[in-house]
Amino acid sequence: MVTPAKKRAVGRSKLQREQTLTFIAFTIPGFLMYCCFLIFPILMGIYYSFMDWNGISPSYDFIGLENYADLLTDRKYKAALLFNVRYTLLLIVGVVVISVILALMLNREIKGRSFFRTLYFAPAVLSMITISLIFKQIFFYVLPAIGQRLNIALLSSNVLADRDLAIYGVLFVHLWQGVALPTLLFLAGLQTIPQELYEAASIDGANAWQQFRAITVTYLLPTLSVVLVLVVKQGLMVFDYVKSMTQGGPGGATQSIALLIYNNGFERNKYSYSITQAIATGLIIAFISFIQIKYTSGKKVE
Amino acid sequence: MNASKRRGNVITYVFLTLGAVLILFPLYICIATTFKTSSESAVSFFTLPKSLYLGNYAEVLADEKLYYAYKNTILVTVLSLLAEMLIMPPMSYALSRSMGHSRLFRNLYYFFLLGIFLPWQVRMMPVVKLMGWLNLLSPSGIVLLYLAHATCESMFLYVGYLATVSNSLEEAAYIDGATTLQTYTRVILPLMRPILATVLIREGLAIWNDFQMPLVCLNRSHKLWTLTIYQNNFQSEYSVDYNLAFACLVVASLPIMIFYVVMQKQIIGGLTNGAVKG
Amino acid sequence: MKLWKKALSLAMAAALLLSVCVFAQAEDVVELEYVIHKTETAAIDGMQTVIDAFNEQNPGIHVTMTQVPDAATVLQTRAQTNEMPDLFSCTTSTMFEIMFEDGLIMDLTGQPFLENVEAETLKLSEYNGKNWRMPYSLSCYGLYIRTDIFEEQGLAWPTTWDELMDVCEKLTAAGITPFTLPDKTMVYQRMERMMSFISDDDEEFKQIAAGELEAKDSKTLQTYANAALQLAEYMTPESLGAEYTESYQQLLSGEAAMTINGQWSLTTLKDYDPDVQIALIPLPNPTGEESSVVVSIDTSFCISSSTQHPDECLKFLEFLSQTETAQTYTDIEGSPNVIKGVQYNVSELEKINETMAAGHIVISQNAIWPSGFRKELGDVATNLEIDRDLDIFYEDAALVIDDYYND
Repeated sequence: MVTPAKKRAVGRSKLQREQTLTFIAFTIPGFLMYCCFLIFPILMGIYYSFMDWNGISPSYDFIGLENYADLLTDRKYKAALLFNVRYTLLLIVGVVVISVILALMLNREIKGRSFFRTLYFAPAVLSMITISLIFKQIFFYVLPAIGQRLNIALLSSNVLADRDLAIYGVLFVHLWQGVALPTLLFLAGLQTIPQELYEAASIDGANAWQQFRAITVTYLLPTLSVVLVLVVKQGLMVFDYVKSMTQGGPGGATQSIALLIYNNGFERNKYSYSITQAIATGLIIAFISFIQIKYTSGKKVE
Repeated sequence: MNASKRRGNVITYVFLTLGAVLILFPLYICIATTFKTSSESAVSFFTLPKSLYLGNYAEVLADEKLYYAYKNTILVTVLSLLAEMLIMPPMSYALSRSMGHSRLFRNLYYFFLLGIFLPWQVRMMPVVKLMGWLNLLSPSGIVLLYLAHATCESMFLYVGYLATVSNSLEEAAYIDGATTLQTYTRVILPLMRPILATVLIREGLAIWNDFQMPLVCLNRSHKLWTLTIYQNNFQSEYSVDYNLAFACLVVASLPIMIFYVVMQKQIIGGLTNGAVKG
Repeated sequence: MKLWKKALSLAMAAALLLSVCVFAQAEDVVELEYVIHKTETAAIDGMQTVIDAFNEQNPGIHVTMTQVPDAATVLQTRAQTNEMPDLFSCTTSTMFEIMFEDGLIMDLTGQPFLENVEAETLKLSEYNGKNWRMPYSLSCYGLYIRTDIFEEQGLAWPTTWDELMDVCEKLTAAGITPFTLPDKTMVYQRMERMMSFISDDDEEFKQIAAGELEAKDSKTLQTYANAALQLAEYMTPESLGAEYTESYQQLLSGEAAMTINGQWSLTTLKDYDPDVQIALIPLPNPTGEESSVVVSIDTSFCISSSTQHPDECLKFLEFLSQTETAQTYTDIEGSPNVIKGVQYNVSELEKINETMAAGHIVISQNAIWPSGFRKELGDVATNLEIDRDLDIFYEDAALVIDDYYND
């Protein structure tokens, strides 16, 4: 995006050549690493999806698109997909709303800001295993006790044991830990906003909400786009949280795609089929994300 | 103006304090449990420990496996972050500034993005095979895997951030006759400090707390273990040793918490240094 | 500056590629790697004690134990890189059956030390008529009762299903909840163990899958469903949200007088409360027939066919099969051993041991069901507890059976 008009003065083609060469040199190490250790294994994975490999035997047969055909009629995959879509939508709303609010608050010049910034990040540091251990106990003992005392029928028994509420229990824990990093991203994004803009706006008589909409939102859009892509992926591939909080229960109510993939791959020994499910899900995520990137990048800051 | 600011501050405090309680309660449980014996936490999980029982920490700290795990985790995390810091930001800069006019770089960008979408399960088994062929099933070997994985997500974050950084400063540098490399090191890199810190924290945490990759790549001996594998051993199909597991967690999380506090200063540093933008 | 950076990055890349760990071993000692499939401290301590004794007796061999959080995944991935450990232990699962078929595991048929294993269990552990593994310990499943509560209430230990229901009535009348059950995640296990009582094989499921039998006419499903609904009447309201730990705590605190679980729970229960007064007794048979104990093979030992040192590996198994070794292991680990002559004296398990010694043993169906099946049918069973609706149960069970048996 170095505008050609300005470079003309210093010898355009030479500079452009130098820049292009440097840029290529910048890109090569990452490119090689990425191809060897990420794309190549993925290609191997795609190869296995055309086989009937159980994940153990040294030999397997080519079965063409059979795994993909099976997927189309798989009622469990469909049910899991529905769960994941619902979960993802809730997660997006939760993550975006909470982390933007938190970022704005943690960006204010208040006393103890550094303390709050550290504290609000703490959940991200803990490993998932421990968090789930703690929260399962809270859901079993603390929340029902509070619910009973306050006479809230919804909370008076373990939410993780309720088919309709279990998803919110998992979601809560996911948000508890998951908003920390997006908050940090938004906080970093807020640093790119020139303070003069706000000053100019308030001189023009814009109120806080108008300033937020006109300046903050505009400048946070690229960050939002990034956060959305990451959250969509997290939501559609959620595994750890579900596995450790509910194991897909009660009665399969929180069965997620990633859990299904895991069960097929390692419990039913249908490794090729599980990879097929993973690839199909990856395509869905890619499709959603590309639309979303196209949409948000159309509204870039000028 | 001042009144509304004060009102805003009050709301902020109320909100942040409520949130803090929500965060501190589970943390309290975690830390309180580490000072209890297993029979004490079985009857009173939520109360303060009756006495400061240090046996859990003593047991965890006396285990030589912990130190192997520490060594490996630090080795893997530090190497990955160093390499990532060297490779990813310049690449993202190249992509960010060329995507607009170069089809090659635009396609490269989308090619790099692909990796984000395909879930880990697709490549888990192949990765093990590949690393087995290359004789790289070792802590240093998985650095390469983390790096390859970071290519997409970190690049995506860097490019996203660079899109918000206006290019007036670098243009000035080019006019002054700086080469692209000079412009990158002198102008762009300092501007990227907040996102650099953010991404490093993000990657650092992801690597520090990763379980699946070490599980399938580093299982030949406990000398290769990372902290997550070590920690997972306190949990079995039939029982969980909460006391040991949480003590281990506290011990394992301290370095990364300190790392964050240091890095956080960098993010705030970005605020004061990068005042000339836009 | 530029050069320095380049040099650094080059050095880093070189370091990354070169720092591959190379293991150099002393030549005269044979190193054997053993991967344990358990993560329980008792099992690890037990094995370590046995291994230390072996290493001491055999100066030319050195066995090291590798312990990982998820041994099945680890073995599966290690099979891919031809790095199977020399020795490993396992439970019963399809994964190992595939490994037997693929020749990844050494055939132990006819090895003299197998004669030290109780013949019945040895027979049970066969696959395709061959011994691929040396069975070592069993797990058994039954009814835990708080003996002190039973005594206070003047209740006899139930031996039949009707007696059990009677006990439940009386406990309820006395204001004590009869059962706490780990039903958030473990319904599938109790379902499978109870179904193992009801029928000897999965013939009915095969018929349902073939469309020859309606799910609602299946004796297995019917008997199980009715028994499960009866139990659900008597369990604590928290049971549906409880995992093992929470159900242990409810039992220990006296919120409930009984739970249904395996002998493996005993270690944890005693760890939480060393003074607890409990007993594990056979779970009464819901069919009304005689009560037996459902057992499964918990630990067996295998040798990889790729090992460089088959003789030394066999020597290790031979050592394990000695009564003295097995006794040492059992005393530490705590589950019933199948090596001949091993004494198993845990007072809490007296009743269940008596029943087993009298030959009243039923084999867990999990060994013959398709892998993954019990967990999914378990979801249907969980929904039965929530909905208490038999029609939905039969309908959903038929779907799952169809899915697994027509795969």
